[in-house]
Amino acid sequence: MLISVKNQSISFAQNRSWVKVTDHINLNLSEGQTLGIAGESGCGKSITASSLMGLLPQGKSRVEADEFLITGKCVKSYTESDWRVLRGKILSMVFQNPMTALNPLMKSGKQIEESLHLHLGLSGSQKVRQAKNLIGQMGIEDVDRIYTSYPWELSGGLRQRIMLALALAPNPRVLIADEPTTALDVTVQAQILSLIRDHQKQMGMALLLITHDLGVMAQMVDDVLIAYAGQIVESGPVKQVLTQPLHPYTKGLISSIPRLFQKKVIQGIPGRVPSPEDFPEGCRFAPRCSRAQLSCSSLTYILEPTGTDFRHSNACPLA
Amino acid sequence: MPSTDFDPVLSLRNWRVCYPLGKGLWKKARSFLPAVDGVDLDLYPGRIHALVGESGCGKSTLGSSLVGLTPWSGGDLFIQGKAFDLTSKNAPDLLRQTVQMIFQDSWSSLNPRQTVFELLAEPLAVHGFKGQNGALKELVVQALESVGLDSSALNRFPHAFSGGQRQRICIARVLNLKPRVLVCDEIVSALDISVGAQILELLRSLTSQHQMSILFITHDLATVENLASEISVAYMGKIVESGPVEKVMSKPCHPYTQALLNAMPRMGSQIRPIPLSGEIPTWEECDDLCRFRKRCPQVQNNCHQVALACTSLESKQNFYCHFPLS
Repeated sequence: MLISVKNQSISFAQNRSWVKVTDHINLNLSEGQTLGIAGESGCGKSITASSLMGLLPQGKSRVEADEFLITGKCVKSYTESDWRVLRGKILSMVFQNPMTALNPLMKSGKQIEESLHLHLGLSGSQKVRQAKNLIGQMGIEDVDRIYTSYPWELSGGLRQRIMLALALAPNPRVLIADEPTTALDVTVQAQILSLIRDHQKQMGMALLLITHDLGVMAQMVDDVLIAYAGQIVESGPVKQVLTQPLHPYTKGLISSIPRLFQKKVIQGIPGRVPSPEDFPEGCRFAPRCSRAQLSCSSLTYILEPTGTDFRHSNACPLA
Repeated sequence: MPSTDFDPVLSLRNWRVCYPLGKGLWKKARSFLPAVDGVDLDLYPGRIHALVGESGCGKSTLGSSLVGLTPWSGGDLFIQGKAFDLTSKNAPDLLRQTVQMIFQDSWSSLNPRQTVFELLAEPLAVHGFKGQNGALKELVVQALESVGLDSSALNRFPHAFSGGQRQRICIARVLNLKPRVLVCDEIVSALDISVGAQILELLRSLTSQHQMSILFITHDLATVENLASEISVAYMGKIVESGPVEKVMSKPCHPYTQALLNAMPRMGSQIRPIPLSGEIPTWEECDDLCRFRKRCPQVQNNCHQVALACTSLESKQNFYCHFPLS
């Protein structure tokens, strides 16, 4: 098991008190597995990913968990220098906006070289060859020109490819992709997704994909977690969750998607995700739920396994 | 009048928008980049016309040229069949009485120092509203209510609203002007799907209520299928295919339309081959030949030699391709 998280909660300091942003998060990721987290903005998807990379600001945030293991070792025992080894060789991350993630003052080839030097200890011509090789693998034809261009000289799609090359350079065992294609055109999105998928299959890399696009989700991952207001409300194999959703929130999300070749009213979900300071008591989705009953706002529901295979689970008892 | 239902509110013929290249304070432009290069478009009342394409194909430029935000370079514009005088000094102002626009980023299109009331009253004042304050307030509240907000919002500032609510305020701003044409530039792409769905529903009901005509600029084909009745597919400043949505989506003639459709991630379908390699090429080689030929999977000799002409089908589908898909 590469990543194992049990009952994790993350809090942030605000006005001299701690505000819990996520809680009861369970997440397991093993070699070669693909897992997705879906939900609206403000559901805690990106925060959870950052906690896995150890990127949350120290002193201002607090991560508590019954179990939080990365490659079998408890995260609490990691020092900052351990994290530096972990990030890159074991865990790698791709962000939504490559312009802010890449260094604008450094040529794109040099940035990849830096990663190769730091994590794999390559140097000299070997480093250059490997960097160009990686750029080529990203489906870029004009390798030499791109190698010597600055990120701001490149289009969004090319920039995202450089980001991906950078993340894949040290051959990580887990790739965390946080909305990797949200800012891209559909045609470029399809290219980037297939690059990630091919690399994942070839290297047996595990993939944690965060996106709000359920169409992308359906094509990329085996298992999916649906997050709402800092909790996971439904989980299971992607096919089952998307075709037979149990939780009203998942149903709402799916009915919000405009679909090709189906002319029907797009329903949407009324209201919006509450902010962490005023998460409601009981079921957090109850105020927006069309099927809410009185009992929903008094009892706390935590994800429990349902069905015969105990894999597709759902937090709503009414479903 | 039944006849007006079938006459376009706004028509463009051979519409061109060029950006000057290498222009400086003392320097003349070296050359021009034709971001919109000879586009024909008809917008009908009460209908939504979708304009789709990848980034950089000129779809936003076309939209903003309709409200005079980017200066037009050539072509004719007709409003309800009458030629519009584009050369007159106050042409942009006159045009904006008919055409209004909503942008993708609601945050940067609302002044953070104005209250919602001021935001909504300003366009009315600009367009010559003369009435008592009471009447003004009534109009503002009316507009707010028609987009699903209430008068408690009047004295609040834009930062107090969520992205979806801000986009509603943007819609309310233009409603009082009663524009006959509304240009919506990627208005839901920055929103969550659940919120975006609400905005689209609102747009749909407003269109039929006010008999507005909407030019809906987007790169999301699934939204188009759901919302629009006509579609134009743009590639490098040209419209490569246009027609009724059902026809174009179910039986695309142009390979580019097909590629866009293939690229859509869909639920319940498995991985499909990558539709297109590369991205939109640079603008240096703009000519009368097919501009898609370098990325086209069906490219043949003719494509590199023979200029394109428009082909129209009986189903009102128009396309520019030598070798259309059957």
